[in-house]
Amino acid sequence: MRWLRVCIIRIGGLVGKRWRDGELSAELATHLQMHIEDNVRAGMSVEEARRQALLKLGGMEQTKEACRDRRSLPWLESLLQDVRFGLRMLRKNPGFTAVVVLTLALGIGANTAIFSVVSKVLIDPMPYPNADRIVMLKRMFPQGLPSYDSVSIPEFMVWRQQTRVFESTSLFDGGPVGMNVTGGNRPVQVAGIRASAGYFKVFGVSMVLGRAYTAEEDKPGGPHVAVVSYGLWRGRFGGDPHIIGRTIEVGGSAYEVIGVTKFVTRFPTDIWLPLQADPNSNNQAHNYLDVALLRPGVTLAQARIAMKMAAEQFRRKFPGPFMMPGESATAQPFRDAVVGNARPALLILLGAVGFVLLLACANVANLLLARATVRKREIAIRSALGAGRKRVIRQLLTESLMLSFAGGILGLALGFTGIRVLLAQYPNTSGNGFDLPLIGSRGSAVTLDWRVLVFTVGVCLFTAVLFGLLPAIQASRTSLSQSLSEGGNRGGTHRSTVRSGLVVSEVAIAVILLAGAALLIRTLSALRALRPGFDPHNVLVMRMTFSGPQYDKSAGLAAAIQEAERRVGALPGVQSVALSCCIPLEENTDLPFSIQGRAPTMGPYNGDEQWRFISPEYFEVMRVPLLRGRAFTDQDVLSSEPVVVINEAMAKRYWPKGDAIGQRMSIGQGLGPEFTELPRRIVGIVGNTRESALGMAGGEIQPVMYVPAEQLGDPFMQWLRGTLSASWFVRTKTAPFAFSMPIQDALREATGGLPVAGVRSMDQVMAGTTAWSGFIETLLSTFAAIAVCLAAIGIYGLMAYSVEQRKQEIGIRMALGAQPKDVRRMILKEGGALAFVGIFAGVVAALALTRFMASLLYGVKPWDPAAFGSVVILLGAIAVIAAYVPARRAMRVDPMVALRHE
Amino acid sequence: MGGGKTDVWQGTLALMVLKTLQTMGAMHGYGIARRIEQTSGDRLAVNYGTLYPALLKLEQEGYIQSEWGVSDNNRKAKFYKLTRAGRKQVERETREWEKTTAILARFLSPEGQP
Repeated sequence: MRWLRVCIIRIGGLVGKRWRDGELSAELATHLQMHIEDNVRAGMSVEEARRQALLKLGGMEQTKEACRDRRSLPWLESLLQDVRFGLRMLRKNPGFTAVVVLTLALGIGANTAIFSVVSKVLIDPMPYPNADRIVMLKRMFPQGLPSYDSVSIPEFMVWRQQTRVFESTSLFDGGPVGMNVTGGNRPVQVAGIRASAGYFKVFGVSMVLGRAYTAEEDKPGGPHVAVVSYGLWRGRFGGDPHIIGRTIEVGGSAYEVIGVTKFVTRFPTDIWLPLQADPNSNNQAHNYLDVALLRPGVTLAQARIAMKMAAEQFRRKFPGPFMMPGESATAQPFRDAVVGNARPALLILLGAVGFVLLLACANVANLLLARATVRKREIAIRSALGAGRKRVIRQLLTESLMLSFAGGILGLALGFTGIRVLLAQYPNTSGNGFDLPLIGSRGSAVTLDWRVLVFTVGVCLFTAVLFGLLPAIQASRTSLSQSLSEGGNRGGTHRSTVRSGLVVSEVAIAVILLAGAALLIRTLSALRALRPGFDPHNVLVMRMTFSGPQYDKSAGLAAAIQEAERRVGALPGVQSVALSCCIPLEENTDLPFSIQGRAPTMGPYNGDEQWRFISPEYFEVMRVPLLRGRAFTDQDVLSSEPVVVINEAMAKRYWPKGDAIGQRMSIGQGLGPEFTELPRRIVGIVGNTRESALGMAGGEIQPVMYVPAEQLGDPFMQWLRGTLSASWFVRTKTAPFAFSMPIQDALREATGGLPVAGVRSMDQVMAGTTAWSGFIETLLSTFAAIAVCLAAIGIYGLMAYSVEQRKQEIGIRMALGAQPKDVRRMILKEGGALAFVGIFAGVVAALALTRFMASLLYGVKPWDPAAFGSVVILLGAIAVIAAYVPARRAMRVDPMVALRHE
Repeated sequence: MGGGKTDVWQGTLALMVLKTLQTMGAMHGYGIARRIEQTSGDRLAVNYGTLYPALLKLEQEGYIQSEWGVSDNNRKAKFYKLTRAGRKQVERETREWEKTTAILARFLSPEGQP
């Protein structure tokens, strides 16, 4: 540890230098005096004594220098000197310093922010104990068709027999269902799911209190037991230590609490009920999700083979229409299933920030090179005054490093704020219905990623060192007389080739980013221009779950609808109110049907299309036009003739001759007792509406059949018992949120005290479906704007420098009769050539890259000429402006001054 | 510095300084130099250019400490004295040195003799 002590003392030696020098001088002076005295005593003359002593002491100054070097750390001392000098230089060129530091900071900040999110969502392990072994089991269709997450009970029952690969599997509701928890002071609707017993094993959820339900309790007719979340336990039940065994009321039925989960933020779920699915069920509705935990050591490929076999078993067990020809089953890593559409979007953003970083580096390199040329003379003078080559290089290097350092610090700050801004914009869902659990609530799980910070700062350091060092070495090598006499300009053609190359690549990168942004802007405007087929303005939408004994019968629902129409309709500001199972653009249910008098074409059916139950006023609330026939009325009840209304797309597809009205069809016949009903007569045709998300997946017009909610039938109501979830739609005269509270109260009174949840406007629903496109578009546009600025700085810098260098030449030209106009044209041409090459290269690269964005685009091709055309025009214009300023300066060169300049 | 005198060997100067301070107590730089030369029977010449950096190094390492005092002939001078760590260092270095010379002696002595 001696060396450490020495080190600390020597660092301490950096201060109090003057005082220490004084001490040493005094000590050496004493030494000399003593020596002289001794010599005199030995018989020398004073003169001789002094001479001998000095001789012996061997050079006072060298001794002092040796002591000085030993006293502190000489390299540290000269470093501090370099830093001080560097700071002075940077302060003297505030424009240069600001541009370099800001450029670096933008590159570093943007990369840190984006990568932090990317690494959390795509790279870091998911927050489940055995995350890498969790797979999603799904149905797979012949190539070209997407695979589906939704699974039926019979499929689950067959698939789960592959126990050689699966340690555990679980079937659960395809999204939290609103569950009414009563039995406290006020009923609340919480997010709950019904899940089979394997759920807790697959996701590795442990309990703070009690236990999870067992496979025994998960059988049909099993006990009413419930597991509640830590949050619900603390919040609603006040952390009651005796909650286990307590009875709570969920959806009007009593459930015994048997477990409280550990605190977890990753599930948006507060209550779990056993699914209690019938192993012999024949219900082929694909209403559930199926996950499995692979046995340790089982690979994904093995799991996929097992799923293929399971699919064939299912085909043998249920011959008939339940599987399409070529349909099979597969397993997908759970992360991929959850991340869904977020992956391409995030990867594209990652690519974009990568380009921003490249651009930042090119710009910094460019500026450093330009500066090195300007400083050639200064360096020559310093060398002439005795600065060693190493010393000069070290000085320049120190300056570059200081710039990088400042850029890095600012970039870190930008990254910190950038992440928060990013997450504030981040859409809540991945676009496929899953919540993105990986970023935590409001993105709390995302933190600054140190790995990427280190990487990015490293890249910038590398750039600064490389492009700061090269010219430094070159400059220090040039012979003194040469660079002094040539006056520090001319020469350097090689370097300006490098600089031209850098500017060209800057322009090219800017083109790539701009093209991406332009395509997304076109996508968004295409999406916003899409007519949804309904009028979303001034419509309030809210969810309700119908639980309680009165809703076991169809009449209960019919009474609630009529009561709601009466109470809500009477509120001032309300025009009409309706109920529908599904919120357009977000929720979908489809059912197979057969057309009477027509030979079945799809198993026993004629087709499988979107199915909605609605209350009579739905079309009026949503302003969906009635094209032919009639809409539903209050007379369409269970006891009257069963009717159905279809949309135009359905009519066109199945009755191309236009004779749909009056035809009869059976919906869901054979799926189970809950769908036993008489054939329905088609009474009306309404306009098409967009039912699936407007966003990335397309949002094509689908055929839809609507049935009256009052005609759902008692078996259907009993089947859903307590989990029938639907949404109220209320059209208001003005902005809908003003009426939100009285509407909620009126609905609660009309339904016997049921709470509503998820109150939104239809405009918000619309905005939500384009959230991802909007998110990426905002970010990409920001990056593109940065890129354009940087490229403009690059062009401007190079041209301004070129004009400065060629002042003499321009002066001579003008003296020989060139007009200012000609000079301007010359400079503009030079800048224009660079821009042209850059734009051309950029367009070629962009054409190659934008096809990776195809999944994010809507209504626009990746090679959209309008987008590319506007990018070329925009960048061309900016390049001309950036070159125009120096060109004007060139025009105003006074030949006399320029020639006399040297 | 000719006259058949040998310049002090860099590595050994520190040990000589420490040993001198151990026998003589607190001394100033000039005194140390003189003493080393005398002890060597004037066969060594201390180069002052190396003495003072060596003193500084020893002080940084904590083996000696210095303070201003007054010399025999009433001159203000900086006096160096051994610290406790310095005393230990003398012992350690002496042992090392003895070991080294013993080994060397074996090499240099005529063959066969112990």
